[in-house]
Amino acid sequence: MLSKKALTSTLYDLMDLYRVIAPCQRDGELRFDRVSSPREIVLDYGNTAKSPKGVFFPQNEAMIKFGRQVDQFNQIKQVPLDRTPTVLLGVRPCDARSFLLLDAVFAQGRYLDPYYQARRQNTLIVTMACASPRQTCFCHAFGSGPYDREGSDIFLRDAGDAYLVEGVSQKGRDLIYQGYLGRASQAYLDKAVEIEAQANARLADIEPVAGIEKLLPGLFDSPIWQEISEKCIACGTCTYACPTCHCFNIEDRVLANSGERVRAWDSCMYQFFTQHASGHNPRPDQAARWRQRTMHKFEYLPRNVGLFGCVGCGRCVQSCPVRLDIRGVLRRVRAAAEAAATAGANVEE
Amino acid sequence: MSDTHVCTCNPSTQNPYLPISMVLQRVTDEVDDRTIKSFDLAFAREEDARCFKYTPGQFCEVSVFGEGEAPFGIASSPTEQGFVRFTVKKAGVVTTKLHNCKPGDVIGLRGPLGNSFPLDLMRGKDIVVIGGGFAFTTLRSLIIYLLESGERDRFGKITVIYGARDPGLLMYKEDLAAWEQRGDIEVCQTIDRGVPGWSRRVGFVPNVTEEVAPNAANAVAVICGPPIMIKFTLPVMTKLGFGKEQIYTSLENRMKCGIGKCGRCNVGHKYVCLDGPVFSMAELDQLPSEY
Repeated sequence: MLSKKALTSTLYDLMDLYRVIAPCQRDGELRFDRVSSPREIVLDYGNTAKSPKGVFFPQNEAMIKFGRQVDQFNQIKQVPLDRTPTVLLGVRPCDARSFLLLDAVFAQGRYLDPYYQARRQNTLIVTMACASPRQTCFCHAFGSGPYDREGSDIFLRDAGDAYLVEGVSQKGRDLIYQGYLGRASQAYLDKAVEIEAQANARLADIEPVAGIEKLLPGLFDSPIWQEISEKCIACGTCTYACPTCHCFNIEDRVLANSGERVRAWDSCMYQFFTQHASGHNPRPDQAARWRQRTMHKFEYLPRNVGLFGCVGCGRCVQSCPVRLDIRGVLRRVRAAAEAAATAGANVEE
Repeated sequence: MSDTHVCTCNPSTQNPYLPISMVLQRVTDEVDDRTIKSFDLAFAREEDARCFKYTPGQFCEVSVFGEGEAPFGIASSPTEQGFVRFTVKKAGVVTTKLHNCKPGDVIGLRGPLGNSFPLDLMRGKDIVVIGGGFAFTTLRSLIIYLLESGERDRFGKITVIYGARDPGLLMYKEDLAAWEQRGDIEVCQTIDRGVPGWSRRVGFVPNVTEEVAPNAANAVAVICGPPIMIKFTLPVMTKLGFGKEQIYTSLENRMKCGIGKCGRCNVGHKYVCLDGPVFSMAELDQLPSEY
């Protein structure tokens, strides 16, 4: 147990040893950023507008540098990997789970991403249970919930004027044992359970997502993609806000006497994401792009890495300027699959 | 070892985004309108040359520093030592810059990436290679490999059908001429409409394929070309008795990383960069036609 009063001094101790990244007020918005004083940290929040994925996978990142003069081109240099010991504090359980999907993309398989791995391997995830889920939250549709420990190293629960601190991974437990934590009395344990029950009571009824990956393959040519995409303005906000969206672009940037190769977030919502130099585009319209977004998250990723590309954080629902709701998309997918199955059954009769 | 000396020969254990330095050795115009050139790249460092092992059908990310990277199939064969060839059409930013490069310029290279033509499956069988226009680059790699790898006798009859709009648009003219002189490969060059001085075949690739009628029994076919050519050649192949698992092609999609992460070249759940670029028609049948 850690009393809320003692939090500031504990954070000062932590900041001696680690770079601490936590939700802070920056330019009028709550954002995951490097903490310079514990007073900046905001822990009782719904969620940040942008996910914390940028901690491991920055929105813009120089990967290599090269000399601009021809005779310097042999001097291709890798930008040093960021291995700074880091504590990522105050992420919500949905975001903590999103890192498992990012791991599957960047840190598993035939090719490993050294930039991602260096940051990820040197970071502890300290998750704050989500005491007040929002209306747009649907983590529970994935069998998860506001108190899910998956993906966390340390898990904090609100217990009134203290936090209950729980080591989830070995890395997390090791850190906790270095600290001076008091044992929680029964009253605190009861309070934490009460807050958890209140959080769970706020969740709306929702159909589980599991199984949707089996419905989607039959809907590639369905008219629903056209219907769904009709009001999309292709702004890409959903993909930038999303904790699991990880598609990126690689471009060269020319500086005065050198240059760098930069990786930057990209979005499947954009026309030029897939357009060939010839002008041919395999995903020629927004319907094809919405199909890709949905299929990638709910069919291809489950098939390829065993995880959905969505954790139910609801950011895309909150930030979409035309109120295109991914939960509604999933409902339509189910309805279309059901309709197709019924039609098929009728034909058989 | 400093970061500047990382060898990319085994990208899975090194930094797969870090290119090696290549020196542009030779630039060759491949077609009359000068929009397609071959670039022979030599290794700047001995150890890169030793480490760079590829098979026909694979591709690389080629970079012009300051402009960016783009993926190209390898047009040279592993049997051709000392250089790696890419045949590139001037189309976008990187290719335009590449076309302006001169011998001696340094070019970045990442790879080899992707899978290759099914050489194991091809051994002991007749090979039919059908190409159209510009899409003959990795087919050149394959043919040279079949002829020069020292195991020509392990492959059956080799038939090449290669078509272009007019004679000036047929690439690799020296290679074609050399193959025509050999007795162990049948080369059928064709152009869409006859022109004075052209003594070889005239007609579209699907029609010529029907005339040549390669035997489907115990054969593997590789078809690369414009989508319209492939579309009309496939029914001919079916008529000749080729099954979908006997026919291979190579896909192209816009790519950035080349290693299955950046998320744009997928066709359904398969990545062209990682699971391809070579697919059998039987495999493509299982995927949406999003390419």
